[in-house]
Amino acid sequence: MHDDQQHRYLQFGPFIFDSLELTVTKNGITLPFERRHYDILKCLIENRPEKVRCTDTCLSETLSSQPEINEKHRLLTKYLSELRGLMGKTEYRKYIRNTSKKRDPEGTGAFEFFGPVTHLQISSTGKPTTLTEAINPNLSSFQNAVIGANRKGGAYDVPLIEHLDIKECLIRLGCTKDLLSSEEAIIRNWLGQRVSEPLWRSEGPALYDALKERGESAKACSAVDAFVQHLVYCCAPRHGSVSSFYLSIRKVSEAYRMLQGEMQVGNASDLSPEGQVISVHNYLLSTNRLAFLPARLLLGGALPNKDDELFYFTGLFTFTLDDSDLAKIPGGLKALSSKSTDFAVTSFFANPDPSICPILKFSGHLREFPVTMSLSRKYVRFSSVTAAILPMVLSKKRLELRGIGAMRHNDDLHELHPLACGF
Amino acid sequence: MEARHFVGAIISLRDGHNEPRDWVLLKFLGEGKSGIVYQMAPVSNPSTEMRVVKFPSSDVRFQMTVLHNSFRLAEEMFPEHPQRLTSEERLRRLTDEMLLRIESSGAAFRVKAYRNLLRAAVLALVAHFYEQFRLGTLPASFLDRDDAVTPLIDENLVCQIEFKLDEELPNEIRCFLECCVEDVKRRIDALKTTDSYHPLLQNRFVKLLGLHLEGFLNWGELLIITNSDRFRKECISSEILNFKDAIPFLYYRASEEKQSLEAAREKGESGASSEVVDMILATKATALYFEETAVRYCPSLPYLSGFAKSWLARTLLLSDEKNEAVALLEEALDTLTTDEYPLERFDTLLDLTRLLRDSERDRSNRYGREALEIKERLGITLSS
Repeated sequence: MHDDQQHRYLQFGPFIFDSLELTVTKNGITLPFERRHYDILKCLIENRPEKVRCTDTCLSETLSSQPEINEKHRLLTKYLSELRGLMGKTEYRKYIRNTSKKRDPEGTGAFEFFGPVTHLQISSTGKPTTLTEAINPNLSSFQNAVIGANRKGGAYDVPLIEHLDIKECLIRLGCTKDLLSSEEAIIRNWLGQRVSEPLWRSEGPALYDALKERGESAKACSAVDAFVQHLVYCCAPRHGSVSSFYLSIRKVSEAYRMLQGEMQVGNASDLSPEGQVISVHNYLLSTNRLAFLPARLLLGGALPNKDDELFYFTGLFTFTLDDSDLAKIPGGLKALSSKSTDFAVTSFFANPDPSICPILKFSGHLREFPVTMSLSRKYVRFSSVTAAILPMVLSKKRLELRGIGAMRHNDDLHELHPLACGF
Repeated sequence: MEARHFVGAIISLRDGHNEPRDWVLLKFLGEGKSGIVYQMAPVSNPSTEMRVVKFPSSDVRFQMTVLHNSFRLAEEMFPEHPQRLTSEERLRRLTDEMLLRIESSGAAFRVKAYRNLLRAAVLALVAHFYEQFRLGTLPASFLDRDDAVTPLIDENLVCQIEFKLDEELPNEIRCFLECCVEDVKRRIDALKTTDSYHPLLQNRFVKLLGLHLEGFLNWGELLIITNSDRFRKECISSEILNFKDAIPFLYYRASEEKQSLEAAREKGESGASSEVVDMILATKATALYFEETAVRYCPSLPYLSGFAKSWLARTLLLSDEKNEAVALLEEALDTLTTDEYPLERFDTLLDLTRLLRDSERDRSNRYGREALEIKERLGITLSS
């Protein structure tokens, strides 16, 4: 691999290997590689289609802690297992395969990289053009726009808020009228910083404190803080905040396929469902086709009335559980009557029987509008965070959900159909 | 059962390389994305050696409302434990729970061997009908034309196709499977309206056996529930005969899995031998369970026992248990009489002829001659 600019980036599937920054991204997101993972991957790619063994010189430094061949091989296997975890099991298998000791003529066991690898062309900005054009065009162009504008110190340009009357929103959120201009500037700056963060940070610049210092009431500070936080979630979907709980693979891939030609991107199979939802989300953002519902409703607008209008939403929702569904789970009714939710993950949300509560129904409000929401249980996503929250869902606690979706109207009922949503 | 109610259960666990020891679960610590966590201590000396143990969420023992047969209760430490039951009461509750579980139309979906059948059915649909779909010559009744699919037409097949549709597929295959989903749904509705909806994976024997295959029940518990009045009362007589079809279904799937594994190994590729072993074990269990139930439910149809034995023998051959297979095939001949079940007897004779051809030529010839006689009598055109 060469370190010069022209050979800096290598692409295989959703991965981009940067030999200068020593990073690997997947769908535009930097993977948390340690140096050893990078070195092993580099060695495998450079030696393709040849097999790589623990005794090869390109791995000598990485495996130097072990003098014996057997130990070196064991260590290499361990590192490759870590690599598999980082790349994702399915993707890893598409590119790396092993030969067992028995089948390896040299008797040590070997690994090889297979599958196509392409060099990416570099644009004048020094970024790989296919990163913006083929993998996730709108994410990067959007990011670049934000970062570039901030770097130049010029006006911040986010398509979503171009047409958003921030001052009017601030008034409705309870801010003081004579501070609006300076507050708008603070908000735009804050938004720019947060949206451009490559990694999600749990704490950022304290917007609440900044407004408080200017003399705004605590209530207004909280309201603005929450409102702007949603703008960040809406503008930075790559951080997964709008798809942490639920992602309808079916709806997302339908939307991706529908927009594929327009977005001029590759096949859906090149992207994970997360990658697809990010692509769709960013494309709609960049073309001003994703409505930011919290602002629309705050400014007195109505709920979307077209089935195909996608929007970012946030609202408070309560899980509506039918006893007949719970009665299908042994011990379900008894557990709920004793207010126990110990079985929320194992027996309820992750129940392998697809006929048990296949649709999770929620009722809630988008601002003052009552809505219902239906989620397919099979698309609920399990993580340590959701596992902690699912018992709360089952105990019918009111939860704030945010996501992107469309609205359907049946008589007087407003049905929210999310593509993805999170807590 | 709520996770905290497993506190007090004694479980045998291996601690590193040592022999398994009995541990008592002392405290429920929480349930996460992939596991349930408890604090535990050795039963022999609970106050000295506290440990934290994580069980995978998929561990069926922690999904039960009755204490699993591998657990017992630390009764001295937990004298008031709600799971402290007489064995009769435990069995009564176990029966209640298992009968509730098999009520669900998706109960079969949680059984690995049955999911394997469903996956194969979707592949069969694509292999047998996609080309006709592409050419626009797919007959309206195509779902009735494939023996590998027709008995599996039910809600589980709909789910399986929908799961497949969640994967990235070439557009034309997607269109074909979308068309299949709709057709399967229509077919289910039509079968229900004519009261002829008896799919294999909704069979109560199949579903109850599935709970054994997944580890909810041991063999003894399975038979007790099968023979319980409640189960017998709710079973319709045709179910036992439908259940019969499960054995060849599973057998052919196990056989295909084995062939795929062998082909992969010949090419130097790796394959999961555990999948094959699991399918063979599931098929053996099905044949054994069918024989048990046939004897009790249909004593007037002794050929069912012969049918089960001959399929069990074929399954044993998949795991190279030739001697046991020969013995079973010969036992099967006792009930598969020439007059009443000539086809089944013919198949069994043919198997015996092949199996003994090299080792015992006389016996093999004897079985071969009888098979030929049946063949001539029935005009069977298959080559022997």
